[in-house]
Amino acid sequence: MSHIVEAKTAIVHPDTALLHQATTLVAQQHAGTVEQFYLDYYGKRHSAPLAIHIPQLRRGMGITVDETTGELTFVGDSWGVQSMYQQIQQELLQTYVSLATIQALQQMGYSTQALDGEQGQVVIQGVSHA
Amino acid sequence: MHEVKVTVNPDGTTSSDFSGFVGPPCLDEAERLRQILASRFGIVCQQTNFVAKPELSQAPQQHATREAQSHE
Repeated sequence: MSHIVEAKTAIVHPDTALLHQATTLVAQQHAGTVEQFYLDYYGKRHSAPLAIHIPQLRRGMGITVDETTGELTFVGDSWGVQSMYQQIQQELLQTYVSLATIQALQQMGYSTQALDGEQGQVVIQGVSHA
Repeated sequence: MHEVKVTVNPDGTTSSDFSGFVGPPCLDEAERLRQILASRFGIVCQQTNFVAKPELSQAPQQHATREAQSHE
Protein backbone atom coordinates (compact mmCIF):
# COMPACT_ATOMS: atom_id res chain seq x y z
CA MET A 1 0.00 0.00 0.00
CA SER A 2 1.13 3.50 -0.49
CA HIS A 3 -1.10 5.89 1.37
CA ILE A 4 -4.46 6.52 3.01
CA VAL A 5 -6.37 9.80 2.92
CA GLU A 6 -9.31 10.66 5.15
CA ALA A 7 -11.51 13.58 4.10
CA LYS A 8 -14.63 15.54 4.91
CA THR A 9 -16.88 16.18 1.93
CA ALA A 10 -19.21 18.98 0.90
CA ILE A 11 -21.40 19.11 -2.19
CA VAL A 12 -21.51 22.33 -4.17
CA HIS A 13 -23.13 22.51 -7.62
CA PRO A 14 -24.01 18.80 -7.73
CA ASP A 15 -24.54 16.90 -10.96
CA THR A 16 -28.31 16.95 -11.50
CA ALA A 17 -28.59 13.53 -13.13
CA LEU A 18 -26.52 11.86 -10.44
CA LEU A 19 -28.50 13.58 -7.70
CA HIS A 20 -31.71 12.28 -9.25
CA GLN A 21 -30.22 8.78 -9.42
CA ALA A 22 -29.14 8.93 -5.76
CA THR A 23 -32.59 10.16 -4.72
CA THR A 24 -34.29 7.36 -6.66
CA LEU A 25 -32.09 4.73 -5.02
CA VAL A 26 -32.75 6.03 -1.51
CA ALA A 27 -36.48 6.29 -2.23
CA GLN A 28 -36.54 2.67 -3.47
CA GLN A 29 -34.72 1.47 -0.36
CA HIS A 30 -37.53 2.94 1.76
CA ALA A 31 -40.43 1.94 -0.53
CA GLY A 32 -40.88 5.59 -1.43
CA THR A 33 -41.14 7.76 -4.53
CA VAL A 34 -39.41 10.69 -6.19
CA GLU A 35 -41.67 13.69 -6.74
CA GLN A 36 -41.41 17.40 -7.56
CA PHE A 37 -43.11 18.73 -4.45
CA TYR A 38 -43.17 18.53 -0.69
CA LEU A 39 -45.92 19.38 1.76
CA ASP A 40 -45.85 21.80 4.66
CA TYR A 41 -47.49 21.22 8.04
CA TYR A 42 -50.85 22.38 6.69
CA GLY A 43 -50.68 20.06 3.69
CA LYS A 44 -49.92 22.83 1.23
CA ARG A 45 -47.81 21.79 -1.76
CA HIS A 46 -44.52 23.50 -2.50
CA SER A 47 -42.71 22.89 -5.77
CA ALA A 48 -39.17 21.57 -5.73
CA PRO A 49 -37.01 20.34 -8.61
CA LEU A 50 -36.57 17.10 -6.73
CA ALA A 51 -38.26 15.66 -3.65
CA ILE A 52 -38.27 12.34 -1.85
CA HIS A 53 -41.40 10.86 -0.28
CA ILE A 54 -41.26 7.77 1.91
CA PRO A 55 -43.84 6.30 4.28
CA GLN A 56 -41.95 7.63 7.33
CA LEU A 57 -41.79 11.15 5.81
CA ARG A 58 -45.33 11.68 4.58
CA ARG A 59 -44.80 15.38 3.88
CA GLY A 60 -41.70 14.60 1.86
CA MET A 61 -38.44 16.45 1.67
CA GLY A 62 -37.43 18.83 -1.12
CA ILE A 63 -33.89 18.68 -2.48
CA THR A 64 -32.71 21.93 -3.99
CA VAL A 65 -29.52 23.65 -5.00
CA ASP A 66 -29.03 27.20 -3.71
CA GLU A 67 -28.82 29.43 -6.79
CA THR A 68 -26.29 31.76 -5.19
CA THR A 69 -23.91 29.39 -3.42
CA GLY A 70 -24.62 26.14 -5.30
CA GLU A 71 -25.03 24.35 -1.97
CA LEU A 72 -27.19 21.27 -1.74
CA THR A 73 -30.16 22.17 0.45
CA PHE A 74 -32.98 20.14 2.00
CA VAL A 75 -36.35 21.76 2.60
CA GLY A 76 -39.50 20.53 4.26
CA ASP A 77 -41.29 20.15 7.56
CA SER A 78 -39.37 17.80 9.85
CA TRP A 79 -41.69 18.26 12.84
CA GLY A 80 -42.14 14.90 14.59
CA VAL A 81 -39.82 13.05 12.20
CA GLN A 82 -36.52 14.81 12.78
CA SER A 83 -34.49 11.63 13.21
CA MET A 84 -35.71 10.09 9.94
CA TYR A 85 -35.44 13.46 8.20
CA GLN A 86 -31.75 13.62 9.17
CA GLN A 87 -31.16 9.97 8.30
CA ILE A 88 -32.52 10.42 4.78
CA GLN A 89 -30.29 13.47 4.27
CA GLN A 90 -27.27 11.37 5.27
CA GLU A 91 -28.31 8.50 3.03
CA LEU A 92 -28.71 10.89 0.09
CA LEU A 93 -25.27 12.37 0.73
CA GLN A 94 -23.64 8.96 1.13
CA THR A 95 -25.33 7.56 -1.97
CA TYR A 96 -24.42 10.60 -4.06
CA VAL A 97 -20.75 10.45 -2.97
CA SER A 98 -20.65 6.68 -3.59
CA LEU A 99 -22.12 6.91 -7.09
CA ALA A 100 -19.81 9.81 -7.96
CA THR A 101 -16.78 7.89 -6.73
CA ILE A 102 -17.73 4.88 -8.87
CA GLN A 103 -18.07 7.06 -11.98
CA ALA A 104 -14.86 8.96 -11.25
CA LEU A 105 -12.83 5.76 -10.81
CA GLN A 106 -14.32 4.32 -14.01
CA GLN A 107 -13.29 7.50 -15.82
CA MET A 108 -9.76 6.88 -14.52
CA GLY A 109 -9.77 3.39 -16.02
CA TYR A 110 -10.60 1.34 -12.94
CA SER A 111 -13.02 -1.58 -12.79
CA THR A 112 -15.29 -0.91 -9.84
CA GLN A 113 -17.59 -2.67 -7.44
CA ALA A 114 -19.58 -1.41 -4.46
CA LEU A 115 -19.71 -3.42 -1.26
CA ASP A 116 -21.57 -3.00 2.02
CA GLY A 117 -19.10 -2.08 4.75
CA GLU A 118 -19.38 -2.13 8.51
CA GLN A 119 -21.68 0.22 10.42
CA GLY A 120 -23.52 1.49 7.38
CA GLN A 121 -20.41 2.22 5.33
CA VAL A 122 -20.27 1.79 1.57
CA VAL A 123 -16.96 0.54 0.20
CA ILE A 124 -16.06 1.34 -3.40
CA GLN A 125 -13.28 -0.83 -4.73
CA GLY A 126 -11.46 0.08 -7.95
CA VAL A 127 -8.88 -2.12 -9.65
CA SER A 128 -6.63 -1.22 -12.56
CA HIS A 129 -4.10 -3.45 -14.31
CA ALA A 130 -2.65 -0.56 -16.33
CA MET B 1 -2.13 -4.01 -10.18
CA HIS B 2 -3.34 -0.74 -8.71
CA GLU B 3 -6.19 -0.72 -6.23
CA VAL B 4 -8.16 2.18 -4.79
CA LYS B 5 -10.58 1.48 -1.97
CA VAL B 6 -12.86 4.36 -0.95
CA THR B 7 -14.94 3.90 2.19
CA VAL B 8 -17.91 6.28 2.29
CA ASN B 9 -19.25 6.74 5.81
CA PRO B 10 -22.93 7.49 6.56
CA ASP B 11 -22.05 11.13 7.24
CA GLY B 12 -20.41 11.48 3.81
CA THR B 13 -16.83 11.52 5.08
CA THR B 14 -14.47 9.24 3.19
CA SER B 15 -11.32 7.21 3.67
CA SER B 16 -9.35 6.40 0.51
CA ASP B 17 -6.74 3.67 0.47
CA PHE B 18 -4.35 3.56 -2.49
CA SER B 19 -2.43 0.32 -2.88
CA GLY B 20 -0.09 -1.31 -5.37
CA PHE B 21 1.68 1.93 -6.21
CA VAL B 22 5.38 2.49 -5.81
CA GLY B 23 6.56 5.98 -5.02
CA PRO B 24 4.77 9.28 -5.57
CA PRO B 25 2.45 8.27 -8.48
CA CYS B 26 -0.18 7.32 -5.89
CA LEU B 27 -0.31 10.99 -4.89
CA ASP B 28 -0.98 11.96 -8.51
CA GLU B 29 -3.75 9.38 -8.68
CA ALA B 30 -5.33 10.72 -5.48
CA GLU B 31 -5.19 14.25 -6.86
CA ARG B 32 -6.77 13.10 -10.14
CA LEU B 33 -9.64 11.46 -8.26
CA ARG B 34 -10.11 14.58 -6.13
CA GLN B 35 -10.24 16.79 -9.24
CA ILE B 36 -12.80 14.62 -11.05
CA LEU B 37 -15.04 14.50 -7.99
CA ALA B 38 -14.88 18.29 -7.72
CA SER B 39 -15.25 19.24 -11.39
CA ARG B 40 -17.82 16.65 -12.50
CA PHE B 41 -19.81 16.13 -9.33
CA GLY B 42 -19.25 19.19 -7.14
CA ILE B 43 -17.79 17.14 -4.30
CA VAL B 44 -15.27 19.19 -2.37
CA CYS B 45 -12.95 17.02 -0.27
CA GLN B 46 -11.14 18.52 2.67
CA GLN B 47 -8.31 16.28 3.82
CA THR B 48 -8.40 15.53 7.56
CA ASN B 49 -5.73 12.83 7.83
CA PHE B 50 -2.91 11.41 5.72
CA VAL B 51 -1.04 8.18 6.40
CA ALA B 52 1.98 7.40 4.23
CA LYS B 53 2.94 3.78 3.64
CA PRO B 54 6.57 2.62 3.27
CA GLU B 55 6.15 2.21 -0.49
CA LEU B 56 5.49 5.93 -0.83
CA SER B 57 9.13 6.75 -0.13
CA GLN B 58 10.37 4.20 -2.69
CA ALA B 59 11.47 5.54 -6.05
CA PRO B 60 9.83 3.77 -9.01
CA GLN B 61 13.27 3.20 -10.60
CA GLN B 62 14.54 1.40 -7.50
CA HIS B 63 11.51 -0.82 -7.57
CA ALA B 64 11.99 -1.58 -11.27
CA THR B 65 15.64 -2.42 -10.73
CA ARG B 66 14.81 -4.77 -7.89
CA GLU B 67 12.13 -6.45 -9.96
CA ALA B 68 14.58 -6.91 -12.85
CA GLN B 69 17.18 -8.38 -10.51
CA SER B 70 14.68 -10.79 -9.03
CA HIS B 71 13.87 -12.07 -12.51
CA GLU B 72 17.51 -12.72 -13.38
